[in-house]
Amino acid sequence: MNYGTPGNGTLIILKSITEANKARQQLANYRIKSVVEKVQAQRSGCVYGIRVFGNTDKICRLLKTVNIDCMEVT
Amino acid sequence: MIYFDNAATTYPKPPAVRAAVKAALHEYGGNPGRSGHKTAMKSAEAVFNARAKIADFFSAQVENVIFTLNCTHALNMAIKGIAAVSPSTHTHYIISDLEHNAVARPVHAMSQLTNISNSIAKTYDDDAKTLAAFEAAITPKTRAIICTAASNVTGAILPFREIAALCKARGICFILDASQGAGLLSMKIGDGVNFICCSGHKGLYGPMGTGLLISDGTYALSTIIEGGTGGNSLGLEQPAELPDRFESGTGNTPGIIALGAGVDFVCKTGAERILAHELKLCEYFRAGLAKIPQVKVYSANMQGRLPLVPFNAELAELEGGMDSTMVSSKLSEAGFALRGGLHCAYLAHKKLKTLESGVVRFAPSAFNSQKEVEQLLRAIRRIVS
Repeated sequence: MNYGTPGNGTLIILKSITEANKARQQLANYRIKSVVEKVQAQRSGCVYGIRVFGNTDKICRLLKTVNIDCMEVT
Repeated sequence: MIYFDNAATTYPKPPAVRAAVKAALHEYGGNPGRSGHKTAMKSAEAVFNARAKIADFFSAQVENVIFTLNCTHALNMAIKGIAAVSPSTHTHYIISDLEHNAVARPVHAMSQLTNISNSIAKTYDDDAKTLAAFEAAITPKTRAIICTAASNVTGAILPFREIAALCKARGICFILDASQGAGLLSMKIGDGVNFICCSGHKGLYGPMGTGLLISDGTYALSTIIEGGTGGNSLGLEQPAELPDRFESGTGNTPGIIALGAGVDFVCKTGAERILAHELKLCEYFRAGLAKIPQVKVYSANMQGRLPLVPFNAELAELEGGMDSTMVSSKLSEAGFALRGGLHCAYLAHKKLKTLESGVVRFAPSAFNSQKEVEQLLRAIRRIVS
């Protein structure tokens, strides 16, 4: 199960649910655990991201190498 | 019923594909990308996994794999989308003389509009001559070449890689209709192949109601369908993010998940192995037809062809005349499924000069056997005698 409810860690908001799942897959290649989530707060529509539990800067740099931009970190 | 109409759609589907549809209806009932509850997220992950498998299969980026209803849908998106990006610039399309109506009709429809024209390049058994014909058709206004990987009537494989390289050298968009050939021939996005449009339900062994539009990211397309994509509901503009931009509305989630299982089947079995099996059945069939004097075969041999055999048979009630619809009807009564007629391919039949009689198309799959071909040959002998 790679999706869940809000919890600890940091939520990195991404462009789409496809991108969120792609990010999860990429991070898993580096043994970095992440969970795909829908952002709970009211936004412009269904907004998705990944919840991570490590160094967010390092994770965002890693995602950038596969053309995934961290839109927002909450 | 013994099924030999696999160029229309493959049947039966692999057990894993049937199981995937059943499992999807049971376990993946949430609408992917439409909510945050676990049911929807589980569906979204399953769709992503299928998308990722298909991306690997065609060497594409996962976000550049767009799920469509079928190949016709994908081709319309690519053909119309490329012209709509700059509608004030003249768009000239080139297609081959073997194209399925899924290519020929949208190109024809677009050519009725101002600022759009098309040319039809003649194809030959000699690939060099075919390539030269495409090159000769290019004008300064040529925006896109759309070409089938192989004819759905004759099975003739076109030199699509060389045509793609020609397009790349000339800065022309190349759209490949991969419906016939995906799952049998090696097809990758890139090296001049800018778009692959494909059925999910033929050589990839997915269910009907699935198709693919795969891009290499070089050319932008305008959308021809806009609607809800889940994200960015606040605005009226279609989002720019892929694949969402081109996947408005709820997709065929069970079909997509099962298509992933179909691609798994092709990978595990091996496309080359499937192709070799089917070609062997075609050679056996052709050898049997050669012994029936009332039968006419419309291809000289299997060289450079997909596993298809177009043929027709003289019928006594027509005083030796040929009617492919009647032949296929009689074969259906005898327990064999083959398609007779024009196969949605006006241009190919015009080239073959079979617009009046049509042809009967023998198209085996990974699941047909030599024994079944023997039974079909016996049935054909009974029909003509």
